Amino acid sequence: MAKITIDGKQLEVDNKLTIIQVALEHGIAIPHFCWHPRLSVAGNCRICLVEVEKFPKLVIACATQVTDGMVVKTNSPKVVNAREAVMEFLLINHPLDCPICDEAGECKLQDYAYKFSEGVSRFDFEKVRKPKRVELGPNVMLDVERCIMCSRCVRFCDEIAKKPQLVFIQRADHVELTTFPGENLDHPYSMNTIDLCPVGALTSRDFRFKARVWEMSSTDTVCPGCARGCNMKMWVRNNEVLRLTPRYNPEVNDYWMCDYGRLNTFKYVNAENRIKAPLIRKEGVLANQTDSGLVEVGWDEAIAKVASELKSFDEDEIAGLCSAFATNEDNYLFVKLMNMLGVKNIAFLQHLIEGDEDDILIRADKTPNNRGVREVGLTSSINGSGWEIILRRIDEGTIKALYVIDDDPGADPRVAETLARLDFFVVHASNENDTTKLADVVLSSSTYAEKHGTFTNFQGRVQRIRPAVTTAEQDRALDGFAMSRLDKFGAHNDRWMQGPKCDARPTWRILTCVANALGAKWKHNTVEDVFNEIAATTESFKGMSYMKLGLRGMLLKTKVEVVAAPIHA
Amino acid sequence: MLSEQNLKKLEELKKRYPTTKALLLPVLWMAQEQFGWISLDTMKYVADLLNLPFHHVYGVVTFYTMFNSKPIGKYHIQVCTNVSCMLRGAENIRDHICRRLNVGINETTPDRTFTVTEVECLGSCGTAPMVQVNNDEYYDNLNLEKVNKLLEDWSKK
Repeated sequence: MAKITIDGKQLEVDNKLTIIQVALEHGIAIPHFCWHPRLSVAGNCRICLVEVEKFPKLVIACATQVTDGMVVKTNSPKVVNAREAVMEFLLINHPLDCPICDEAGECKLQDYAYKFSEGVSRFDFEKVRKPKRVELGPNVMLDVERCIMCSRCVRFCDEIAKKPQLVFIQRADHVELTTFPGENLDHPYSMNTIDLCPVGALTSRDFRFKARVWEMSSTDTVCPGCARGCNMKMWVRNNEVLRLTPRYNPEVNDYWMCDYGRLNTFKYVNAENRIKAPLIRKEGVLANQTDSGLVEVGWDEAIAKVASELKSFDEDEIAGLCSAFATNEDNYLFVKLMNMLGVKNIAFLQHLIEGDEDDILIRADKTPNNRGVREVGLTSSINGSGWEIILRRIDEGTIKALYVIDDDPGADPRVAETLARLDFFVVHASNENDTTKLADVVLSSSTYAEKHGTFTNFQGRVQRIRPAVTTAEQDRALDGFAMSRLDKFGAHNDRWMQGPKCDARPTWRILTCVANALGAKWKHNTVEDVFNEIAATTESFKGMSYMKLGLRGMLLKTKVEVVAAPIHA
Repeated sequence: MLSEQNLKKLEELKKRYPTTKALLLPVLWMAQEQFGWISLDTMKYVADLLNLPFHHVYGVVTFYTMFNSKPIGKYHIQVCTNVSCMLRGAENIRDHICRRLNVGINETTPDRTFTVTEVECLGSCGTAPMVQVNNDEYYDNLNLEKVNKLLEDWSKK
């Protein structure tokens, strides 16, 4: 331990730490570009210079370990002067293109220029010209002129992703970031370099020029791309998801997320093929190639139809399919509904891609809630009838009705053939797919971007998802959504205030409606009520609440791996 | 491929450096002496030889101006145009050489005999102006006649 003083504050700290680590831990901001808590110390940006008493010169806070009796000043006139000088150097060759730069608004250089720079340039020569719009890889675009050579991206590729693909060439003011000739920046984590880049040098090819960052709201949620459940922020403007960025959670994903999750888990929320209202197959409306034969109806009609149809079958003639894509709450209520009907044939599908995994984040299980489904529902209710058995019984004609939530079993043509034999088939779905084409009733369900709920990741960590996109029955302000400035101060007739909304409901709510139409008296007004019921009735969730889960989630009480019923995709 | 002799030298060098990263500079120097310049293929070869990432080797080669990443001529004429030489007429000499050989700075004659580059101080200010040819030959106290004589000698060889 070392006793040190920073800006008059006396602290007792671990003497293995550096000044910048100690300062940040105690809420003292020291500006930094090249330093990052998870990367090696490069010490090349020089903006973190601080004054230490008895040291002849200013030192960089990122590379100086604390020692006993150290007296550090982070804001003395000497430091302020040095910072200003560093900023002047950094800005000499930096283009003045903030108005068209994607990074503007979340740019460290821009922020520090406001805070620490004089605002005047004494440099009246022509700036160095370097390549612009360099396609570094499939997902990342590089503007070399904007680069301040902090080397965060280079170190990330070397140290975290373990795929050295970036390098600086040349020297002095000719330095350029590049890949080796003929190679691309194409590893599965390449887009983290965009978040790391303190300036607009590395930008996302997917998100480029889509929006200014201050126009979007950002919502803390969880990626549903695989069983890891990376914490992330969802950025929305005009009720449309525009990008996803990782959110720090040391227990799950640290500061990172993979490119697959970042690019593929939001497109379907905005997609053209969203189911915009409940659909029913009506007599007289024929299916053809362009039209699946389903007609839009109101919620009351659709739910009444489901309830009356379900009543007309024996309990053994009905089967249910939960979903590892749906939340704990959805699955819990689904199993509860099936239990109420006396249905024993319940299963869920695994979505494994063998081999598509690594030691960093990516898991072979491509569902966010595999563990959760087993935890809240199946183990306590199922009597061993797996999906294969259900399919066989449909073929035999002993199972006549099937209730599916938020999954797409019909994607397998062999299964689709079997499903076509059903007398009654109800599906909760957010997008049109091979399964909805076969359904008699499609209940338009919210995507994970439109509802509250929890996923349980492969570690057994229960994490909250939060809605970022509104459905027809929600309002950003009244329902407590994250709001951008545009959302707060725009009028309803303004641009970007009129994004389309789907008439979708979260699965847990649809299930409550169906159960109540069947005569139950469920009183779940909010999804939190459902979660509290899970916490009260399920041993491994004991003591949990939405408040306690917070931003980092909580581990299930049981660490014992639950043996799943024989379930096959 | 490095020559038999160079590979032997490499084994010797390995004993003197703590890591292969530190060994990179002498090995690149060896490669340049053998091939005259360092091509991308050579960089890949050296990277494999020392078990370093390609990118690192690429960064090092481009960082040091004395590594040639383009083919050069038999005589690499490096004209110093730093202060002392400049005051004693280095710019004239530079322009004269370029005119006589009919090439620009950083260019090579079509017969691959001469390459002319402009360099910073080579530490021969007392005998300015000067040029360095290839890696270690200094020609100082130059004037136009001396330069003509040298160029003629080299052309004949």
